[in-house]
Formats: sequence, C-alpha cells, structure tokens
Amino acid sequence: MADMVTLKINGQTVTVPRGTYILKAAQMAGIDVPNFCYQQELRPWGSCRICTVEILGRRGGLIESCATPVREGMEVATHSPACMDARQEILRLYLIDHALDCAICDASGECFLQDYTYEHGVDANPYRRPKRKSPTLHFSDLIDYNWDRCIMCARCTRVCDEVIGATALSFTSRGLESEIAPAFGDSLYTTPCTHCGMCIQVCPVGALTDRWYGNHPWRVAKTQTTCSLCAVGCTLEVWREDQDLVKVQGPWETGVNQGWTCVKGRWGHDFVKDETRLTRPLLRRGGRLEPAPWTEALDIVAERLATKQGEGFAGLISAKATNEEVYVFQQFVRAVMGSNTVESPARRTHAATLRAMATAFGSAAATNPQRELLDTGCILLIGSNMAEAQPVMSYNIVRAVKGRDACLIVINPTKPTILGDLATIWLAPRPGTDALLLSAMAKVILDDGLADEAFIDARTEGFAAWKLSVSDLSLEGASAATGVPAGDIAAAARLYARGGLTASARPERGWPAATLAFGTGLTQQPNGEANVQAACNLALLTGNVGRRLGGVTPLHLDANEQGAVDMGALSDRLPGGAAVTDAAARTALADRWLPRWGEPAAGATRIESLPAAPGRALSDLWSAIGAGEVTALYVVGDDPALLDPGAAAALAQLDLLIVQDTFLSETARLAHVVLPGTTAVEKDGSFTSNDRIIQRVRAVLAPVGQSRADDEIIRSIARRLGYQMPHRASSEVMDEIAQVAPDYRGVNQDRLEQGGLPWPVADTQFPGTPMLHVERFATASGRAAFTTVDVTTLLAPAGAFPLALALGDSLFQPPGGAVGRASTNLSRLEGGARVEVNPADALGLGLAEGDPVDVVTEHGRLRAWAMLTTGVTPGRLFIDAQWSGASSALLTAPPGEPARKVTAARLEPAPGAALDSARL
Amino acid sequence: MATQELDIVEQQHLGGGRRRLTMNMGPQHPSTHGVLRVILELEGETVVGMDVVPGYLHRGVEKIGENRRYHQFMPYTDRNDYVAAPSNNLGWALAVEKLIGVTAPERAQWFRMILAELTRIASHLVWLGTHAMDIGAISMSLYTFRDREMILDVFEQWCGARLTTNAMELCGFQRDIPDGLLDNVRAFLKVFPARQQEYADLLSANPIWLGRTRGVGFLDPEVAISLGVTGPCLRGAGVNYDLRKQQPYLLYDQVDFDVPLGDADESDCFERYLVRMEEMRQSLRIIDQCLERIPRTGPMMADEPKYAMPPHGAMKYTAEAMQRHFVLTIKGFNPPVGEIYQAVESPKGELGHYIVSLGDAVPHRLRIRAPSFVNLACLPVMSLGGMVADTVALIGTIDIVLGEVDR
Repeated sequence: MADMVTLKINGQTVTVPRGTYILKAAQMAGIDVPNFCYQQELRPWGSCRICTVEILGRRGGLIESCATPVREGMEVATHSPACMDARQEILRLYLIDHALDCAICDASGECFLQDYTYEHGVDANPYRRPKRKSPTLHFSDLIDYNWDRCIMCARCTRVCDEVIGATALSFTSRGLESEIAPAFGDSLYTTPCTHCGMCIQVCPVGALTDRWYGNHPWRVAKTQTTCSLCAVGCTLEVWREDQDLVKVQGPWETGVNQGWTCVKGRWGHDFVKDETRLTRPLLRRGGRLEPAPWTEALDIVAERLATKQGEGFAGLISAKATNEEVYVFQQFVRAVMGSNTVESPARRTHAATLRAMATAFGSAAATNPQRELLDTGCILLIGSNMAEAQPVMSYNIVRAVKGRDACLIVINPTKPTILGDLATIWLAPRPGTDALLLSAMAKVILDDGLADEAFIDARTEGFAAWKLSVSDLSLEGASAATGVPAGDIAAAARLYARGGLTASARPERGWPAATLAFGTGLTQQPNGEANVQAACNLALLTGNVGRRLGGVTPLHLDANEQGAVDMGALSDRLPGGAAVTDAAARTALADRWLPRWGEPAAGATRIESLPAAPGRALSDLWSAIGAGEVTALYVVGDDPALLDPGAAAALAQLDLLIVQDTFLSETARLAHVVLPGTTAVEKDGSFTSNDRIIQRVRAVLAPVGQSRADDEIIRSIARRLGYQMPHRASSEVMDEIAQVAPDYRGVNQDRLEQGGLPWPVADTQFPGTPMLHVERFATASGRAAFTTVDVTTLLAPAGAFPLALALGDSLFQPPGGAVGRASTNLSRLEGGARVEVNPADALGLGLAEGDPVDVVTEHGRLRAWAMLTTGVTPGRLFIDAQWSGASSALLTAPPGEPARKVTAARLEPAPGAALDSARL
Repeated sequence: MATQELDIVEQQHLGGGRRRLTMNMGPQHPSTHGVLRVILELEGETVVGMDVVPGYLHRGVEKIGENRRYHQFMPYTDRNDYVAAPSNNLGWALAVEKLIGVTAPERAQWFRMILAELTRIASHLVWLGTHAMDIGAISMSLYTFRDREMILDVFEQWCGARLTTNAMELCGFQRDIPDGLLDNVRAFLKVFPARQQEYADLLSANPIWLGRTRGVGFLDPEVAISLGVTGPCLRGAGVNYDLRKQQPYLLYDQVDFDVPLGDADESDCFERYLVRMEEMRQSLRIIDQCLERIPRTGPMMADEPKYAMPPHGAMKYTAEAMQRHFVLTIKGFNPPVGEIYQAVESPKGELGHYIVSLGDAVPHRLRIRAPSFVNLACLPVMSLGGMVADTVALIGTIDIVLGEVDR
C-alpha cells in the first residue's frame, strides 16, 4: 500500500502507516523504547531525549525516536551500545539533582526514572553537586509539586493544554531554575484548572503527586470497574489497601476514556468511606428515625407493602443503580406490587428526548460512539456544559478543536467552561428560545440549498409538511426573539451543514459529517420536547444520522440513565423497550415472572397479570400523591426532595415512604423506613454508558457496616411478601435480561469481562453496534420522521423578576448532591452554591465578587455566592443545581410538565462576609 | 506426659505369651529434636518395625519461594536448618548466583567460608550437646552451648541476629566486615581446641558413652548410598563424599583440609561421633587459612548493577544507587531462563537448591534438597532389631532439624 512504510527495527521487519513515529512503530512491533516525555495521544515533544535510538548508516545516527517519522528502508537499532551509552549519559544528567526520596515518594515502584536507571545499569555518576532540596508546594488542596523530583518532561503541561483544555500548568523560569507552576501564581484555584489530576497520572516520576495518597503500588490491590459518577462510562482502576480506597486512576488504552479521567472519577470516590454513610436500617418511631435491626425493618416494610399492592404504589430507582438492580426492581414493582409506576431519573433529565427523539428516529439513545468526536469536522453542542457535566467526553472535543482545528458551535445561555473559549461560535439564546433558534438554523440551511436531499428522499418522511411549517420563519424575527445576532445564526447553520468547512463549493462526495450533542439545558425546559424535535430535524436535514462522525447524542447525567431506560424503569415501557400496552410482550414477561408467586403473605394478594395501563410518569407523580392516588413510594438511591420541584411537600403526604440509599438524603429524612444500600464500588453488575456501551461494574470494597446490595434488599422484601426471589449473582440476572431485552440478547458477563459491548448485541458472537440507524431507522416505517416544531418561545422575564435564571451542572458535583457532599476531596474544591452574574448586572446591584446574595424566584429563595463573569450575558443568571438543591428551592413544575432548568428571578444582596474570590 | 507421647496404639498377641505392640512416639517427644513422629512396632523392647511420619512443621517453603523475589527469599532459608542458618543462606546465594552467572568478589568468598565453617562448628556443637543429653550425659550440653555462644556472638556482630541470621546476600555483601570481627573469630580459634579436647576426653573413653554408641545403629555403606544419605552419616560409614572436595565451591579448592572418614565395618554412632569431632578440627584449620588469606581490603559486592544490591552507603547518598536499590527491592531482577542445581556441604550433608527460571522475578519452581530429610530415611534401617532406647540415640546421631525435614 502506498501509505505504508516498511523499515527494520532491531533487524525485525515492520510495516507501519506513513507518518508513524519510530517509537510508536517500535511499540507496535513489541519493542519497548524508554521514554519520559512521550505520551500516547499527545503531539510528540522530544524534550527528554531518553528515547534516543540509532539509525544505522546515517551520519550522527542517534536521534530521538518519539518525534522522528519512519522512512522507507530505514534501519533502526533501539538498544545498540551507542544508544545505551547515550541513554546512560542522559540518565546521569537527570540524576544530578534528583531527590533521594524513593522511600517516601508516591511514584516509587511505578517510576520511569527508577526503572530506567536500573535497566540501563546507571551505577556511578561522575557529575555531582550538593542536592538542592526544595519544599513540597501545594498547588491546590489535592495536587502537590516537588521540584527536586521533576524531570521537566512537560507531560503535565501538555496534557493540561491539549487534552483537558485548561492550560492551568506551565513552565516558569529558565535553565536550571525551570519549574512547573500554575499559571499566574502559586495556586491552581486562580487558574482554569479542572482539578482532573491527569497531570499526576501522566507524571513519569513523583514530581506531581496526590496530596492525600501517600501509599505505594506494591501494597495495593487493583480492580477495574466503571465509574458511577456520570454517564460517560469511564473505565477506572480502583486501588485499595485492605478496605481502604487509596487511589483511582484511568488505565491507559482501556474503555471509552482510554485512560483519561476527570475530577469526579479520580477524587470523588472517597464518598464511599464517608462517616455519614448509612450503615444500619432506620425506622421512624415517634417522629424520629432510629436504628433498627434488618429483620425488623424488612418485616415492617413487607407488612406495610402487603396492603399497598396496585396502582397506589410507585417505585423510583436511581440511575446510579446497575442494570441488574434496575431489572430486579422493576420486576418487583410490576410482578410483586402490581403497579407500572416505576421511574428513573432519565425521565427527569430526558423526558423530552424519550418522546421527541424516539418519535423521530425510533430510539432515544445516542446514535454514534463518543470517541468519534475526536475525528469529526464539526460539533454542535446545545444546552450543555459538557466540560463540567461529562468532562471526559469533552476532552475529545478539546483535542479535536486544538489538535485538528475542528469546528465547535456552542449553543448555551451561559458560556460553557473551557469549551466556550474554544468554540468557533458561541450562540447565547434567551432561555426558552432554543427551538426557535434551531428551526431558524434549519431554515438557513434550507434556503442556502445545503440540505442533503438524497438522504431526505431515501430515509425520511414528513419533510414536506415540516418544510411548509418553517416557510414563514424569518431570520430577523428569530434573531430578535432569541437575542442572537442574525449573522451568527446563519454562520452556525452553514458551518453545521458544511461539516465545518468554510469553503462554499460542495465537495464531490458531499459535505463532511457533523455531529450534534445536546444536554439537559435543552431538555429540561417547558418546551423541551420542541427543542429536541428541532435538533433532530436539523440532523435529518443535513443527513447526519446513520453516518460515521455524524449523529445525535443526548447527554445524560447519571451513570446508568440509558440502562435504566433499557431495563424498563419507565412507567410506560417494559424491559426490552416494548410498550406496557403491548399485550404479547406483557404476556411473555408474565409467564416468566408470575409463576414465582408462592403463598402470598398476610394481606397480600397474588398478582395474576401484569398491569396493562401505563403508570404515572415522574412529572405526574407528585400531583398524584397530592391527590391521594399514590399512597406508597419506594425510592432506591434517588433524591426527588432535592431535585424535583414540589416533591418534598408531596412526599410528606405519603402513607408509606421507603427510601433505600447510601446517605441520609433529603428524601430519606422524610422516610418511614430507611434501608442502607451500597455504592457502585461495592457491588457487581453492569452500567450502560451514554453511548450505549454495556460495561462491567465490579465490587472493589465490601459494603460498609450492615449495608447490603440493593437487589438483595429488594429480593428480601419480595420473599417476605410470598414471591420466590432467591439470591442470584449479577451474572445470572444479566442472563435473564439477555432473554428479555432484544438489544441485550448477546450479552453475558463473561463477554463483558473482555470489554464493553454497545447494544444492540444480536447474539453471543455479535460484536455490538457502535452506530445506530445505518440502514434503516427503528421506527415502524423504517424512515426517520420530520416533526413540525412549535417554536413558541416561553418565559419572558419582567417586572419583579427581571433576570433569566438557568440551572446547570457542576464539575465537582456528581448528579444527586449527597455523593458530592460526602466526598471530602470534592468538598475541598467546592466553595458552595455560586450564582454567576454578568458584571454589568452586578454593578447595578452593587455586588462584588464573592458577595453573598439571595436568588429569588416566584417560588422561593436561595443563598449563594456571587461570581462575576462575562460567561453570562447581561440579564441572565446561572446557578449550579446539584449542590445547592436549587431546583427544588427555586422552581416549581406544573403537573405533567418535565422538570425545568430555567425560570425568572431577581437578585437581592444578602448580609454577611464575602467569600475569598480564589475559592469561587 | 510420657504416657501421651508413648501411646500404645495397638496390641497383637503372637502366642507363647509374646505380644507385638504398635506404639506412637512424638510428635511432641523431647528426644525427637522437634516435631518428628515415629510409629514403632515392638516385641518386648526390640524394634521390629518403624514408620517415620514427618510433616508436622511443614510451611510450604518451596511454594513460598516461588512467590518471593530472589532477594526476598533469603530470610526464609534461615528457617530451614535453623541451627545452621548461614549455611542455608550460602546454599541459596550460590544457587541464584549460578543461575544469573555472577561470582562474588574474592574477599566476600573468603568471608563466606569463614561464616560457613563457623556454622559447621556451631551446628556440630548443638548436635553434640543434644545427642549426649539424649543418652544421659546431660552436662555436655551446658559446655557445648557455652562455646556456641562465642560463634553466635560473631554472627550477631556481623548481622545483628544470632539464630535466623540472614547473613548472606546475593552477589556478595552490601557492607564491609566490621572492625574487630575477625579478631573475635581468632579468639574463638584460640580457646576452642583445648575445650574440644576436654569434651573428647570426657566422652571417647567413657564406658557409658561407649555402651550407648558403640555397635549401635550400624549403617551399611551400600545401603547409605542407595538411600542418598550424605554428610557425616555417610562419611561415618567410610564413604569419601564431601562436596567441598568433590564439587568445590567458593575457594575450598585453595585450602588444605582433610575429610575424616569412619570405619566401614563399624559404621555406628560412635564412628559418626568421631567424624563430627574431627570435622570441627578441620573447620578450625579452614578458618585459620581463610583468616590468613582474606584480602585486607577490596570489594565485597560483585559489580553487577542488574542483580546486586548497591553498597549500603551509596544507597543512602546517591540517586543512582537508591533507585537501583528500590527497583531490586520492589520489582526484583529477571534472571535468564533456565534451570540449575547447586549444592553445598552443609553441616548435615548435601544441601541443594534447584531453580527453574522462566525469566520472571520469582522462580517458576524451587526445590530444596534438604539433607536432614534424606538422611532420615536411614532411621528405620538402623533401628530394626535394636532397642527402643537406641532409637533415641539414632535420632540424635542422624542430626536432624525438623525445620529442614518438613520445610
């Protein structure tokens, strides 16, 4: 092949793609070349010189292999005497000033310098001077730096720049005085640092260290598992010493993250050992929750549940539960309690997607793998602060933009972290006007003739009706309503349609693909469904579905939102995706589940058939409780009192509230019975990631105290009610799921041990489906549907509430709140609830950075710290929802409407001292 | 206690008023030198059958060795023949050095010989004291342990430990010989010959001693060879087999010493006593020559950065040595692929280490040929037809250590 090059390395013939660097070629041939500054997936740097190899027959044959591309016929020797001599000399130079710290250095045992010194037999050093001891510098509460161990390889600074996009670390000073330092000072808090800690993971020596680690690799056991703190689905390697979790890091070249991690994954897991964990069941006695033995708690739960069978019972399970647990739970709700009301947070974040995207494509799941973001030419990101909510996914975008000049279009009322600064265009529409903005973009594409007509003809339906509906849309009108300049709307539309190309001529093979991702900022609005419809229309119009590097990706928050949907934790869907109204599907499940009924417990009745009517959606649940239609609720791991407006009041009216959680959440405080469950690092099972990859979750630690696996608790209750649900390992549950859910048919735990599988997995040989809708859509007709969008804009802030408040996600807070509060590390980074204000608005109110301020809406008020930033345009506010409970404090949701992330508000300066601005 | 330790397990009536008793001895019997269990079949006081049941001190040492890096295993060898720990250390060190193709520097080799021969004397002193005590000469152990203390003091001066010494290291020694240590060895050489003569005077012509050892426990040389018996037991039967002569290691081929042999026709406990007494004198000769010939200065550790620990001082003060030390400690070295067997003449006999290496930091297979275990095979042979009381003398004369038998 023309683009392959053949060369010889150590006499071995190697054929690699042209442009491959010698070091990489050697690695592909199984030859290890020492390296300090070489880091996979980064641009070559060539500063450490330790990868020096000899090119035979070349004058001055020694050259650094990490930055030298291969040439045809080249003969390379990686371990010739000349190389070894050169490397020994380089190592001696490194060792002149290197600290005598091996005994107390975190890196000892996994230190590149230590290994190479040994491997190269560096014994005596002719160069010698007194060691220059330097103090350990605390860059932040988590990251330490020791100059006297640093070898100036620049891995940390390059990772921070090229992958994370923060550029918080850099070299300062020159020559022998060189050192690594945070930008503009000695603290990472004044930099854009995301505290991801990748600088520590890539450090080949022990220069950058985790301040709280203080352990050694030979003392720990390492287990690979899937992160439970967001929907990306990173593979993590969890290190434990006995039952202490000592470190979390990303194993290189594994899983969707390929080794990269974020602050939550690396440092958030210390919540597992927090002293506020629930370790014993609690029973409400005389108005107070008091510890009780398991048997008593379970007996009481069963006794009370026996009278609550039927539609008056509701279940709500966290999307941090594994697929297996969700399956067992919904089986419990449907087959034991005889109710279809079993919901999960996917409904809270993506109710609009579940309706709109499923209508358009036949499936509400992400269409393309997230790693494709690395290669795609144009990324349209809507209503998401991805660098905070799904940080590791955002690294792909950072690398695409910084490494390949990919085009990034951001549509968000506030400027997203990191990605906002990298964006080619940032559109900041007024909250509530997204559907109009996206439809206006579609109109521009239509008018410019950039639509992919061949795709529209062959793969879609409803185009003509939709085209008619946008015909009277004017760019100027949209600009006026959304507050986005008309030129920006048009430019963004053209970039998306042209796949990032700025040329006006259409390439012969059509415009390159562009991908679209939207977050909860788009869906959690009163008109969220219209927003998602408009986004889907945009992708269909440009032919970007079922296409490599294209696609539509809804961005989930919780780790297993996709899995919870797949497992049937929806009041209108059975596991496997069939509607509950589908009699055949219901019968098949009834035949599987209902024969397990034994003798019903006193007061309970045998369920003879699965309920046929859909249950209540999460958004309807609180009004149903208020109306007395639902009297018992079983919540597993979720916290509606914190996250759902109006939920707290409804929960107080329940006859029976059972909460199974790892912490005493806001909801658990209201419960009649609290059962201690386990966290994801204490149980086996699987998660389904944002891009549909089913991945293994492994138990690393034993459950704390008396806490038990969540599915075991559910089974214990079922058995007390007279339903046969013996203990089963997660692998056996997965086997049953494979029989029930067509998309999971070929999945079993043995296969998952080898790596994740993207569903649909048709059979046990099938490798999985990274991309959906390639030949036909999952709709009944096989065609995608254009939907006419209601572009009415909502929410016009005025009068007493002149500001538009948007709620979003925080980098330091996993979804939920309790987990983030319980993590000591994350609490160190999070100063408290922050409200982001434009300096112009702040000036009018006399606010300074760090001042305490009350955010007031029609429904409530919340104390927060003012953070002045131009990331929000005048007239807007932004607040982190997870930490503060802002959604329940400030919002209200009319019955039947999805949870929102926007409302009208005003600010009132509050008394009290200002917060140190460095901690904001 | 005695009734528990010598339990009648079974009785058989043979007619004519004769009975055959099956009796259990040990594993807690004091004369079994640890936890050896012996099942005796007796007619009257005559031993007509014997079953040796080892294994009460089994720790799985070989399996442990297959999970320990080469440097790491050294302290475990102490616990095999624990009255002669430095000899075990030496066996392991030489085996690994053969595997990796390294020879310790000359000064280290002379010093290793000094330690090994001191060990031989210390081990024989323990044997002499306990063996004599078993057959009635209680005071002998008080004398021999007094002299052994001098040797243990030397060990302590060298490595801080007296019993489980961990005295040797792979490829040489990390430290130099402490000041005054060799003088203490010389002091021992000065006082010990006269004392040993005293013990010989007390025992060699003692009628009770002769009565309990002369003609007791005949071991045919052919049988001994076929059983694989080595060490003083074999040489007591007149077979000239001493690895220091037959397969010289260290610098034994450069020193003069004789291998004492017993009379093949006698080949009894007394012959073995004579052999061991003479071996102590020969060890003194060897140590004397070592002290003469050991270089005053010179390296103690081979210059092999890949395998050898860095010297103790450099390890603390230079980054190169410290890092090498840590890699060797944390990860160990990777020896060549292959298998080797290396034996040394320990006080008890041929102590061999067999290593199969797949190039990993730990051996793929480790086998220890422990002389006590093999020599124990001659106990039933020597006991048959003898008295129960002779069995006690025979266990003593073989000189077993159960740490090594059971491993």
